[in-house]
Parts: sequence; structure tokens; C-alpha cells
Amino acid sequence: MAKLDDKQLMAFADGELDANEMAALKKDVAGSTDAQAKLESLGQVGDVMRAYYDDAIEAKGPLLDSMWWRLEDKLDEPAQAEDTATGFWAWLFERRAHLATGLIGGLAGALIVMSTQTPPVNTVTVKYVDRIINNGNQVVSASVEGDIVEELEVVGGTGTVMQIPGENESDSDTTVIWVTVSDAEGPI
Amino acid sequence: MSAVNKRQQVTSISEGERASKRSAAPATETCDDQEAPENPDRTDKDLVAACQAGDKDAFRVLFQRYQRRAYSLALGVVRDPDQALDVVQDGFIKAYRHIGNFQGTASFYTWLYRIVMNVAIDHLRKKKRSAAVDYDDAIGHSEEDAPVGMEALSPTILRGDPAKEVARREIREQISAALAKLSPNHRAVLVMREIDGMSYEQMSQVIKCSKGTIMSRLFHARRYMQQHLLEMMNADKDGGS
Repeated sequence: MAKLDDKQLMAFADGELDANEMAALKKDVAGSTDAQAKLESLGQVGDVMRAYYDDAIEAKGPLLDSMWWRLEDKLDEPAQAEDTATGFWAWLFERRAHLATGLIGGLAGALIVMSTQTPPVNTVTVKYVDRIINNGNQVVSASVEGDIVEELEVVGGTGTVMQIPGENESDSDTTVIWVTVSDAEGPI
Repeated sequence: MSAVNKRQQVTSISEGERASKRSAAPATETCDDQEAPENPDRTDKDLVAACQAGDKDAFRVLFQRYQRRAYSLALGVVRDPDQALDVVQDGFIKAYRHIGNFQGTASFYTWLYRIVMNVAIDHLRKKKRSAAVDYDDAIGHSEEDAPVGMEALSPTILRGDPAKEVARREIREQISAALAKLSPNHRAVLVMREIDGMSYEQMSQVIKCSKGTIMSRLFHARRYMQQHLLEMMNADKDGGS
């Protein structure tokens, strides 16, 4: 017999299982003194709760019995403003805690994103001299990250990287790769 | 008074009756089937319809039918007897004012309980009781998390009739202290199940959560009270010996 699940046992005690589950569990319970003891113990919790609340209700019995007379006059009084919220505003008011949490979370997220943002990448405008060297084979290859030339390879020549600052503060810098091919005169 | 007498009878039934009561059919009886002693022919549906047509006496019948049950729920949530009375009063006033909106998709008392529950929670917020109550971290507020050491029911049966011990003031105070450590939602499901015999489905309509959540809360609340009752009764036995 499989070990009985206590939550299922509780549902059995409360009559919350369907007919098939009830029948199956009834057999299992009948064969398990542990399960029977747990059911008994659950029942005792219920008995104590009922006795406790019975006692508490009876202590206020006279006040409960006379409550209608105090209540009747108030039934026809106009509702308080907070009592008349309906529709969307009532929905919003009920969920104000969740909305506040969401707003604070969103604000925190926005602050985190802003603080960890990488600076914008500068675009490098590359202009090639329209001249074919070495029968059209590529002589220059450059790897550029932002405005930094990270790698430069010149086949059969040398290359120099230069940075020309923009005229104004708002202008970006211009990166120039000056290439000299060994058998050419001057840069290409 | 009939509801109270019924509850008093439950505390004195024998063990055999208790076992058979627990294995009885689910609590399918709805209060639409109930009849007020003073109005044997009037169901909740009839009374609500009369209220909606402006009959205040019909509302009075509903009030007398459910006031004690509403009080037990209110007391379960707010724990203070005088505040519970205020909650009941405010709850019924609210129910009366909104009776025109009641469409009958749920039973009247489920609808009423939802109102009382909301009023009780509002009372707690206003009185800032939630800040003052020291919830037991072992219970927690996550219905999916099983509290440490509370995954299983205890098979230990208390000797004698523990319900009779409740008559003693010191035991009542200890029970009250134990209940204070539960969250309002845990206390609410305990009251709705143990005092009012509501089904999981009905409770889920009152608290507006899934049946699974109801089951978890109820399980943890019962397990917690079970543990405390064992400690209470054992301590009492040792003290008396």
C-alpha cells in the first residue's frame, strides 16, 4: 500500500474527494492505524476549535441578539464616500498594494537599467579609395569597435591609424587608417 | 439559535460518531436550502429577492440567520470580540447596500462571507494590527511552502475530551495565543471549515483563491494547531501531576 498523503487524508476527512478517490482511500485508511490516528487527531482539532468559538460567540450572545436594533437605523443612512466606489475605481482601490509594488519595482528596474547602460557606440564612417591594388585582392582588413581600431592587417604594406577630432563638441571623431602599400607611392 | 445548538452537539459526540461524521458526504448543503425557523417557507433566494424589492424585514431574517456565523468568521480574522461585532455590523450594512448587485451566481452566504472577510481585513489594516501581530515564520504566507517541520500530520491522539478543556480559561488563552500566530487567511479557513462546515469550493469563492491554496492553508493551520494542542495538553498534564 502506498504511503498515504496527509493532504489527501485531510481532504478525505473533509469529504472533498470524488467518489472513486473516497472509495480507494477508505480501503487504505482501513488498513493503516497511522492514518486512522491522524484522522482522529484532526477531528480533535475541529472539536477544540468549535468549542472555543462556541464559547466566544455565546459570550457576545446578548449583543448579537440586540444588534439588529442598532443596525436598522444605519441601513438607510447614506453610504460613506469610500463605500460607494464602484467599477474600475473599486477594482483599482482593491489592488492598490499590488499596483504600488509594481510601480516601485518598475522604477527600480528603470534605475538599474539606466545605471548599467553602456555608452553609445560611435559609428565609424569608412570611405575607401576607389582603387584596386594587387589585382583586386583585399589589402586592408580592420576590426573596429566603436572608434577604436582593434586589429589592422595590411597585405604587402603598412597601416597607420589616426584619430581626427570633430570640429564641435557634438561632432564625433573620425578614424583614419592610412595605408602605404610597399610598391606604391603614397597612401591609397 | 439552532446553529449554535448544532455546534454544541458536535463537541460532545463520541469518537465513533466523529469518525463517521468526517467520512460523510461532502458539505453540499447550501443555505439556499436552509429555512429560518420563523419562516419555514422562505429560502435565501426568496429572501434576497424580497430585499431587492425593498423588503427590510426579509433582510432582517437573513441577518438573524447568519449573524452568528458571520461573527465567528469576523472573530477568526480580527481576533478581538468587540472589533468582530463592528465587522459584523459593517458587513451587514454593506451587504444591504449592495444587495441589488447580488446576482445569485454564488450562494447568498458565500457572497455575505466575502463581504465580511473584506471588511475584517480592512479593519485589520486600519488598526494596523498586521504590524503588531507576530506571525509565526514557520507558518509563513506562502501557501506553497510547507513550514519547517510541519509537512506531516501528527498521529498523536489527545486523551480524554480536549474540547471540554476549552472551558478552562487558561486553555482558552493559550488557544487564543496560538491562533494569534496564524495569518488572518489561515484563521479564516480554519473557522470557515471547522465552524461553518464550508466546502473548499465555497471557501475559495469567499477568499478568491484556488482550491489548492485553500487546501494548503487549511492543512498548515490544522497542523499548526494540532502541534500546539499537543504541547498545551501535555504541559497541562505535567503541571497537574
